[in-house]
Amino acid sequence: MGLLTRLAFLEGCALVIGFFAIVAFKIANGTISLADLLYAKEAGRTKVRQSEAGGGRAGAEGPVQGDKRVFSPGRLQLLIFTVAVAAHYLHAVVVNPNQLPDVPQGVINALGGSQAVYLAGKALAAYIQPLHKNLR
Amino acid sequence: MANNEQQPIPYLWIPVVAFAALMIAVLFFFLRMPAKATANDQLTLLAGSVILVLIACIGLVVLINMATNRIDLANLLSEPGGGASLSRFQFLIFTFVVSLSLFLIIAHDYKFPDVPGGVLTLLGISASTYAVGKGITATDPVHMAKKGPPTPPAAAQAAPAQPAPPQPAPHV
Repeated sequence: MGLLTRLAFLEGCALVIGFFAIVAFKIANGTISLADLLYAKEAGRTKVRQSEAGGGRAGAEGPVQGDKRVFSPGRLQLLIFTVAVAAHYLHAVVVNPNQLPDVPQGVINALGGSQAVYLAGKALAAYIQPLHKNLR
Repeated sequence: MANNEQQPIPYLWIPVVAFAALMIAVLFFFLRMPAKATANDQLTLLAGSVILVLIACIGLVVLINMATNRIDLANLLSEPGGGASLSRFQFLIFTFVVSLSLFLIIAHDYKFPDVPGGVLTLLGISASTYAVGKGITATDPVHMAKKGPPTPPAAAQAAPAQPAPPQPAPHV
């Protein structure tokens, strides 16, 4: 039974590390794109994509308009907070691997607030800003 | 979709079968049955070995397909409107962290631990943010305008409207 347990452990390690390594490698070499991760769409402002504005594919439909994206501090704070919480949790498990550590209520509240800010910004860009622009 | 047209990897079965054979050989030569093993113990050992080899083979196939882009991960973090989605990225990180933690604890104690409410709340917040963000993107007027009006199914377009067949007179 000991050999079976050891093999199961090695297999689990290989699968978890394999999945993680493939996703991390694809993020690192750009196959999984992280472009515009920290950029939010700014409603009401559009830019013409360079590749399509010069003719070619634009054809009869005219140039395709892309969204203007601007740097979002809300996304940056959410990213920092996410990485910090994940690292803290993993550290707690490595230090004491007897049970899953609970997440402090303060962290959950902060994460909920952070997510709320992120979603509010997204909703603002999607609904409120176009309405405001139309009213003007 | 171009990715659906990809051909399966030729001779993928060779490494999978070789790996399975290696595992079976290791189990066959090195796995020792206890002297006073009951039929229940033998069945447990056999079932464990079969499940171990099966999961290893399935995992190997999935990993090979992921590594060779047969399973396309390019849009794993992408939003429908373009660009990477922070909520998807966060969901990915938390999923990896919790699964790795769970694996470490199970490997340490050989028992499934209780999952605290705080962890479930954390994953719940992350998943609901992802769902709400997806809803906002899908109902975004700009995004909907780009997609255009929904088109009726091709079959409905092609087939002319058929008159309804005459109904039999009801029996009185």
